[in-house]
Amino acid sequence: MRDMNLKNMKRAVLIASFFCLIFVGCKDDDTVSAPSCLNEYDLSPLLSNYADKVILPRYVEFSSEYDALYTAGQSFLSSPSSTSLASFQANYKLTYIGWQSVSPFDFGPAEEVFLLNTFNNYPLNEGKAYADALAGKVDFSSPDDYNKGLPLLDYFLFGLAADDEATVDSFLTNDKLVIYTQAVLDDMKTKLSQTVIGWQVYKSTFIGSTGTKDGESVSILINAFNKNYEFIKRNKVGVPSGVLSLGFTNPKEVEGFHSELSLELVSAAVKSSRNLFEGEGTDGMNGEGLDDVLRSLNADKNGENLADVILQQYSEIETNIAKINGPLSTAVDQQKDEVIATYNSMTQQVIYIKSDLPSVMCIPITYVDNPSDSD
Amino acid sequence: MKAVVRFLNRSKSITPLVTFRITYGLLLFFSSIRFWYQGWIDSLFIEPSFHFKYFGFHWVKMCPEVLIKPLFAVMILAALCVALGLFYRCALSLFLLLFTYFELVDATNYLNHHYLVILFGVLLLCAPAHRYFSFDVRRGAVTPRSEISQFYILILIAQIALVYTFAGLAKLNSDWLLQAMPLRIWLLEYQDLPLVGGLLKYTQTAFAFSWFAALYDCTIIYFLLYGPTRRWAYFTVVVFHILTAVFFNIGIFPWLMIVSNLIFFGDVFHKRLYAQKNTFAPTKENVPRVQPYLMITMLVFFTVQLLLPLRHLAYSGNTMVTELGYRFGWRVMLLEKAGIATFTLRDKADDRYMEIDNRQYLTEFQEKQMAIQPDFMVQFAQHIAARNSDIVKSSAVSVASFITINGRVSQRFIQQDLDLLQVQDDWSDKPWIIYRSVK
Repeated sequence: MRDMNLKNMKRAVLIASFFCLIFVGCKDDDTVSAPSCLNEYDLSPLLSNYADKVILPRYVEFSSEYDALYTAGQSFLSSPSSTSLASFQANYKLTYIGWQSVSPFDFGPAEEVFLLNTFNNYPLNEGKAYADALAGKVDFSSPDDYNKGLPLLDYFLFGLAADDEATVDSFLTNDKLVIYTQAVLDDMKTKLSQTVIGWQVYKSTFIGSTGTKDGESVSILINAFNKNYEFIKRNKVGVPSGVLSLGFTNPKEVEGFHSELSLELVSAAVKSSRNLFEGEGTDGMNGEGLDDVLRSLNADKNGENLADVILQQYSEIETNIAKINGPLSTAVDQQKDEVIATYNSMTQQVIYIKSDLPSVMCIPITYVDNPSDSD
Repeated sequence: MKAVVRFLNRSKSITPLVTFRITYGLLLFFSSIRFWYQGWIDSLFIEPSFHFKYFGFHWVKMCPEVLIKPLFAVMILAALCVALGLFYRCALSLFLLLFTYFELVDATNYLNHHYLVILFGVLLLCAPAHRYFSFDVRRGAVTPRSEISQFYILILIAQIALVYTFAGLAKLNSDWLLQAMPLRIWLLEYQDLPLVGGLLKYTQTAFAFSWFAALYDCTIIYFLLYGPTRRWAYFTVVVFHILTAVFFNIGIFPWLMIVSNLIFFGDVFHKRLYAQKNTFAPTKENVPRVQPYLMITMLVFFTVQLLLPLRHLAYSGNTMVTELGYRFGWRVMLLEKAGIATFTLRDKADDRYMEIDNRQYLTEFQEKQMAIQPDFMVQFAQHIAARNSDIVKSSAVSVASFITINGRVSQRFIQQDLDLLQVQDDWSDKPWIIYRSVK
């Protein structure tokens, strides 16, 4: 009995080593597809660049844009006139475009105060917003109420009345609108300053978390980058274009419908996403970004570096957007092909940034949020 | 032949079998409670509006929502009864029935170790594991026995041997051995762990783990079978499986293997476990021989168990990519695989189309699983067509599907523009899977 087992054991070891030898022997010289991974890759410079040169400066820049909007808003609300309205409107446009540069950072302090929901829940629930205003209901604690933020300004400043003169009149005659708009402005101001202050503290946490696990900075950044990108693709272009609804367009679902700002907002959002990928700071300096990681990993996609593939795709998207004559709300019906082409080029990019990028960086996505065990 | 039968019927102490019964019952009792406590009944059974099915088991429907938790509670109690040896055969049958039902009801949740729980359960059901140290004995329902045919222990050992061996063979591939994939990805996650963390970022560490794990799976069974090496082999079992429990969220699998491997220890060890409670003096009994029909059943059982993991050889390409013949084959922890599957529903009558937002139909977890498994894509396509039949009469569903495997860039997985409603989800080869092997 003992002998038999010993023989079995020896045989097993032999068979196992034999198998191993075969597989070693089968190794071909083709190392092109060899996975790269972030082994022994120091992520600190990347995270420092994002925190110090990209994220914080963008918040600072956006804050000053917002402050200007806030001031213009206050002077309009205290003395509504066509001049003060024009200034309020102009600042609104700058701020909405500026918002696109910080919207990808929906994590950390921003996520804590629901900054994204505060600034840009759209499409606005116009009925609810108007009713809340008339009822004097200025409770913005629920992140899921589509009754506030920049979309509210879009509606109140551009869509409430037939023209600017009538808009001024509504604010002159209806105090409730004044109070509600002021509350909306205050809400944004509070959340934004909380976020900026929060980042001063969160910065060191962000830079110090150099692992690749779910919940660590690089994983958070890539997730936020993708979530924001898909939001651009689906909500800013997809939904209005009708690709999700059998070709029946939804012009009113564009972002900034009343101010006819939709196309500029898409452009700004794509540019913001691209700059984020490149790690480009507000000073225009191209620091260590995700593209540099892909380059040092030699991430090969169809014979080209994945970083170049992604950048070319951004260019293609930008070219497609340039062919559209704004606003998007009319283009979805009048320039169907151009809008669909834009959407399709955006869809292609999802493969590169959501699938290829985390895979070659070996950021595990298999386990994230699994409501179950794995094996 | 006769010698084989005589060998199988050789009598042995019942204690290893009893230990197996008790630990199996307790483990399933606690893990089922954990499953409930984690909220998985809600997220895996109640929340999804659609459930993926196994081939041949499409008829298994989710029971009405009000029944799910009561049935689960019955299952938990049944597991406890198995451990206690109370109404053993009834309790085990009931447990197995319910456990299997909850597995079959949604194939999204397939886990190799849940499949192993079912197989162990079936083998236990054939064995008289309640004839000692059980409430059935105490209440006088069965006559106690101190010895049994070693057949009942050998079938459990055979099952464990199959698991390890196939898991080991599956690791003998170039990704595992030559790229240290996917361990390189997974160990990287733990680089800020105290003490060992610093080592984990090195590729060499991943290689060491990979080669050790492959060697372990391929050979551990022989070291466990061989008396002189058994003790330290079991020690390795404990260390190895605890390591996997630390690094990966693989649920009860490590614990299941740690306790079930106790079966390798002989009478002396197991008898000692019960020494204090030995309420009756062992007599020289006449150990009943195993019924021939049971032997034949087991022969069929193990033939199937031997062939099932090998069925992937009947398909072209690599099962790690195609998933053809992947399940029920003990291919564990082999892949870091993810996919993007974008479905388009087309109305053939008026040439309108729409892209499908998967999350309106599936949970995040279901979407993730569907995006890497072709049979799920076929089922999902049918579901999309059914759910939209009021607005699209003459439908066609195609998918733009891309997957990444073990750190590679993505590849198109499914033939573009194929109408998934026209293909059958069965055991035949699926030529429309166009990504079939990795370089």
